[in-house]
Amino acid sequence: MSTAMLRNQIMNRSAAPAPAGTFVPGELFGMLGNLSRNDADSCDFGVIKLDDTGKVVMVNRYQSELGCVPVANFENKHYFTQIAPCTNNGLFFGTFRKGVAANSLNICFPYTFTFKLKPTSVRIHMYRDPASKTNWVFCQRA
Amino acid sequence: MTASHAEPPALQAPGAPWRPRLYKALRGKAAPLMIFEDRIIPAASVWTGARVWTSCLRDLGVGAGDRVVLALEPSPAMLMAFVACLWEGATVAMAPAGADVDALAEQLDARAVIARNGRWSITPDHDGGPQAPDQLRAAVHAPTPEARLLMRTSGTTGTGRWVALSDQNVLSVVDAHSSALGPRGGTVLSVLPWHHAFGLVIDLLPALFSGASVVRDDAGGRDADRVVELCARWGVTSLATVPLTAERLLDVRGGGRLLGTLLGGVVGGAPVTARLAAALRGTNLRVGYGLTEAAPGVCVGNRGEFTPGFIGRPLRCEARADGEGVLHVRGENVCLGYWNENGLELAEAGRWLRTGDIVEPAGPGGADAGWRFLGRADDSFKLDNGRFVEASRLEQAILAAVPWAGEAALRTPEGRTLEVVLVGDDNLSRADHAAVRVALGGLGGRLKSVRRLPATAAPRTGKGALDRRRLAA
Repeated sequence: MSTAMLRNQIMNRSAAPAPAGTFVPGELFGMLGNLSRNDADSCDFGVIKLDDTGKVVMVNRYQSELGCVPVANFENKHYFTQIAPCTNNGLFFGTFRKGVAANSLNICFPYTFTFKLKPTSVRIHMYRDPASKTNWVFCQRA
Repeated sequence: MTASHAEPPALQAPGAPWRPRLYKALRGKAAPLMIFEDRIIPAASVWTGARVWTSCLRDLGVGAGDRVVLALEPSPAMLMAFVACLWEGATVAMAPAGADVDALAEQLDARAVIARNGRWSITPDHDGGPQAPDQLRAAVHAPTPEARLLMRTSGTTGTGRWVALSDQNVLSVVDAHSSALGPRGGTVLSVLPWHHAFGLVIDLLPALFSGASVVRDDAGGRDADRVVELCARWGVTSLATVPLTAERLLDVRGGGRLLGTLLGGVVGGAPVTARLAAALRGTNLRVGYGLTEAAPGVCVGNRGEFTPGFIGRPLRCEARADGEGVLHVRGENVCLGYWNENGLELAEAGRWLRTGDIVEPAGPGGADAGWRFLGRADDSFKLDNGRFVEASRLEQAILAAVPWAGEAALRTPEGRTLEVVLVGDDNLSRADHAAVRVALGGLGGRLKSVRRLPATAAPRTGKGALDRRRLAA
C-alpha cells in the first residue's frame, strides 16, 4: 500500500510549476539541456543527473563531497540501489519512475540521508526537464 | 554469505531481546518511512542514527540498567535515541518534551538525560545526532537491568506513579497487539504521545516491528480536520487513538468516513460512549482496554465490536472480577514493579493486579463475552454515617432510569447529600428527577440536586473520560 500512496500524494503535489521549498535558482532550469560539469560544480548544492533508469550520468563536486563518494565511483552506478539504497522506496524511487513515465517530475520534500555514517537532514528537489528529457536530483543540506 | 544475511554476534548477547527485532526492522531498510512535518527519515537512517547514539552512550559509560530519562518530542532524534537505549539495555524513563528533567533525574536517580533542556542532558543536534554534556550525573542506586521502561501513570484518577516494565512485559504486549494494527506494511497515523504506554507500546512499537510507515501528527490528534487531511494525504490505513479524538472526528467533514475506511487500529484509554460506539460498530477498528501497570494492554474487542462501555476480552492474559466487581489482571503484561523514593520496588511475580476499574460481564457468555466498564472504584465514597456508596453501580442504575442520558456522575459535596450530573442533550424534566431519586434506592432521600450538561459542555480528560474533578469544581 503505502509506497504507492506516498508516491501518489507526492505526484499530486508536483502539479505546481515551482514546488514550495525549492532551493534551486530558477535560471538553472533553462540550462539543464546543456548543463556542463563546470556549471554543475559551481552550484552550492548537490546536482545529480540520472538517465531514465536511475543510473547516474553526472554528479557535481558538492554532492560527491557531501556523500564522501568520489565522482568516479558515483557515475554509471544506479543511484537508487547502488549509491543511495535508502532511497529505494516508493516516496523516492517510485516517484522518480512515475515521473519519468509521465514525462513530468517536479517535487520537493525533506529527507534524511546517511552521510559519513551519520544521518543528515536534506531537502530534495527531483525534476525532469520535459524539453531535454533529462532527470535531475538536487540536494541541499537542511 | 553476505553481511546482510549474517546475524552479527552482538544479536546473540543475553538480555538483549530487542536487538534482533530492531536489526531486522531497521538496518539497511529504505522503508518503512517515518514521516514528520519537516522531516522524512527511512528506517536505514534511523538505524545509522541509533548507532551514533549507541556510540555516544558507550563513550559516556552508560550501560545496561543505567536509568536514562528520555524527554524529547516525537522526532527522528527521539527514535534514534530510544533505539540506542533499548540496544544497550538501559532503563528508559519516558517523559514529555519540556519536562523538568533535572527534577526527574533526581527523582529517578538517572545516570543520563536525553532532552533539549537540563543540566546533564545529552542534546540532539540539527540532524538528530547526540551532543554529549561535560559530565553525567552520578547515580546512587544500583543499575536496574531488569527494568526496561519506567513509565508514569497518567494520574487521572489519583497521584501518578512510575511503573517499571520489563522486556517481557513490553514485548508480550507488542506481540499480542500487533495483529490489531492492520495489514503489514500499512501506514499508521500516530497521534498518541510516545511517552505514554498506549502510544509507545500499542501504537509505535508494533508499527516499527511490522514494517508500517508512521506519519506523526504534531498536533497529537487535537485538530480533527488535520487528522482527516493527514490520513488522506498519506493514505493512512491504521489509527490508534482515544475516544475523545474519535468523537472529534465525528464532528468534522470526512471524519466519520475516515473511521469507516481505516483497515485497522485501536480505540482505548477511556470508555466509549453510546454515540461513538454506534459510529464505530462494523468498522475495522477494535476497542482496547488497559493501564500502564499492564504495559498497557489487557483487553481488545473484535473488529467493529463496539457497545457503550464494552472493553473487550483479555488478550494473552487472565482477567477476573472480585466480589466488588473490580477487575484484576494476571499475565506477562503485569508490571515488574514501581520506582519510588527507595529505588526499584519489585512486585511479586505472577500476582493479580488490581486495576481499580469496576466491570461486569458484557454478556451471558461469561468471560467469553468480554467485560463492560462501569466506573472507577476510586469514584466510590463514604457518607457521614459510614455508609459506603458504590458510585458506578448507582450511576448505571440512573442511566437505566433516564435513557436519554449518555453518562451520569454521582458525588457528595460534604458527605451528607448527593448530587447527580447527567450528560445528554434532552431537557431535564420533573420525571427525570423522580427517576433518579428512585434509582438511588435507599439513598434517594439524600438527593440534593440533578444537573444536566450538554455533551459538548461536559468536561473531559485528555482521553475523553468525564472529568469528575472539574465537574465538582
